[in-house]
Amino acid sequence: MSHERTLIRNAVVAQLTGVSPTFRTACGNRIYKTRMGPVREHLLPCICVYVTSDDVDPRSKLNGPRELIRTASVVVEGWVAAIPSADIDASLDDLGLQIETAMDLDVTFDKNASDSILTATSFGFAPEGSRPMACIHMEYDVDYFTGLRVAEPVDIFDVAGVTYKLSPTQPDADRLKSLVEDIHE
Amino acid sequence: MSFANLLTVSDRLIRVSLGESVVYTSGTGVAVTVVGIFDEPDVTVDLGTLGVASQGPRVALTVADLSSDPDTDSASTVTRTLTGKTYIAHDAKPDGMGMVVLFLHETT
Repeated sequence: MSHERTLIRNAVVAQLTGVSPTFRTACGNRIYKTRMGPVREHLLPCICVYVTSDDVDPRSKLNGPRELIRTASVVVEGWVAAIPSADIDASLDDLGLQIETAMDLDVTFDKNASDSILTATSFGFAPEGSRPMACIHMEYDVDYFTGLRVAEPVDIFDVAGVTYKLSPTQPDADRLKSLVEDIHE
Repeated sequence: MSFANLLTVSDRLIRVSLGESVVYTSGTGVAVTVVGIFDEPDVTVDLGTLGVASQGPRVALTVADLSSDPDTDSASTVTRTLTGKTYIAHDAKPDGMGMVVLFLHETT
């Protein structure tokens, strides 16, 4: 079984891609599940999807049975190239709108997450290549839960003897005793 | 021979050996055919987290041959006669000794 992060990345890529020929972004099917660079210019425009961190909520310690409340930071990074006279900022905004729309189609990514939200967008521009190029870097918080990776230990706590005292000075002989059974059921 | 003369002779030799015909057009539309040394090395563009692998076309020209000063003419273009491809200069680096390197973007 794959880790939940892998399932989320797969689902994000599938959701951003859509189904040919009705791709959801100008990148078509050039949406890659990778953090290996550099991107080849002839593939532009394209998108890369990867996870940069995965935080666990401290409240997870209070859960019983044990369940981790997790938030993965999923990065959706897109690149565009343009001719010198083009409005490359408008191209970036167009791609950003397409990404936001595709990501909002299903915030659970086919039930692989409980929720997701866009938390930050940043931009970059570089003139060094054969054409002007720009990048949009979008970060999503993706919430999901994981249980114990192994089977829970068998609960053998099945019977309890409970003694009640109304005050510290109450004689032992006057205590109320109860036997609680079938706790595990 | 002075250093300046030696440099002039060296530049001439390099242009004869490595140069090719290019058409330099100023921002006002005045075109001149000159000899330039064209190069297009691989560059990794520092863009985003991953970067982009691209090429960085550039051409070295003699400033005195040109119809405008490319250091101040932000609309000049260069057409490489060999390929017919036209570029716009997005940056100019004069060497202070009569040559200038234009950093180019493809126009199509």
